[in-house]
Amino acid sequence: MEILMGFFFILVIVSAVAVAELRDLLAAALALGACGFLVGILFFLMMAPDLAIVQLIVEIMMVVVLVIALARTHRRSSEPESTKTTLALGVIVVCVFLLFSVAVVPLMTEFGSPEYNPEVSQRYIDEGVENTGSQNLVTAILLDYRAYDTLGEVVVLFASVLGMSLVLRKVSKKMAEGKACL
Amino acid sequence: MSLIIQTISRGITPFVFVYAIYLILTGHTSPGGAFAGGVVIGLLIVLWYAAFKLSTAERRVSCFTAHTGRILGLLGFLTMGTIALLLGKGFLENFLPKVVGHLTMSGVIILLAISVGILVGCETILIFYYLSGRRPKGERR
Repeated sequence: MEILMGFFFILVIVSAVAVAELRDLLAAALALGACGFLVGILFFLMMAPDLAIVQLIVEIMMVVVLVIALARTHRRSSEPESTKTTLALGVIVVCVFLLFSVAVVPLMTEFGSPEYNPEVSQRYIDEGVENTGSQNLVTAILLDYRAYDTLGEVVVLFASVLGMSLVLRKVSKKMAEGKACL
Repeated sequence: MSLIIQTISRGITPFVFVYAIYLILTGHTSPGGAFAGGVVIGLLIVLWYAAFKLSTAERRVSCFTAHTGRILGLLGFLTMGTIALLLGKGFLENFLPKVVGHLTMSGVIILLAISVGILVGCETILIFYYLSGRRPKGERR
C-alpha cells in the first residue's frame, strides 16, 4: 500500500510540474485533469471515499469547462524569455524553500496524527453514531457537530455566485448608457 | 455533437439524476453526501451543454429556476436551525425523532442534506452558465 501510494504521489508531482511547464494550453488542461484524478485515487487509497467522490466529480467538471473555454480562445504558443536573472532567482527561491522545509519538517507531528486535542476526534469516533444516528462519520461531522461550519461554507458559496452574477449579468440598455443604476 | 453522443446523453440523464438523489439521500449511511450530489446535478447541465447546445440546457433549467433553487436551499437550511431554536434546542440541533432503519435515522441531518444538495446543485449550474460566455436568457433585468 505504501509503495502504491508513493507511486501515485510521484505521478501527481510529475503531472503538476507538467501543468506548469507545458506550453500548449490544451495539454496543460489535460495534465491538470490527470493530476486531479490521481489526487482522487490517493484520497481513495487513504480511505476517504467521500472526498474521492467529490474530487473526481469536480475534476471532470473543471476539465470540461477548461476545454470549452480553450475552444473559444486563440491558442498561440509563445516562448517566454528566460533570462539568467530569473533563473538565478528561481534557484535561490527553491534553495530557501528546501532549507525551510528541512528546518520545519522535524518539528511537525507525524503524518495523519491529529495536531492537538486527540480526545476530541476520539470522542467523535466513539460516540458519533450514538449522538447523531448517522453511520457515515463525515456526514455526522459536516451536518451535526460542525453544522455551523457548513452554514458558513454554504453562505460563502452563495455570496460568491451572487458576486459573479452581479459582474457577469446582462446589462440593460439604460444601465449601459448610465441613465439607470441597478 | 454527433447523434451517438446525443442519444447516449439522452438515455443516461435519468440515471445520473437518480444517482445524484441517491448520493444526497444516503449521505448519512454511505459515502457521498450533499455536496457530491449537488455537483452531480450541476454536471448534468454540462452534459447537456456538451451534447446539445446551451439553449437546450437553459430550456430545461433556466437561470431564474437556478436562482430560486439556491435561495430556497439557503432558506431551508436556516429554517431548520430556526425551528430547533424555537423548540428550545440549540441552533441547527436535531429536533426530529430518530427512527432506526428509516430515512430519518439521523433526524434533521436528512433535511439539511437536501437543502445543501439543492443549493450546491443550483450554484454549480449558475457558475457554469455565467462562465460559459453567453449570457443566459431569462435573466430578470
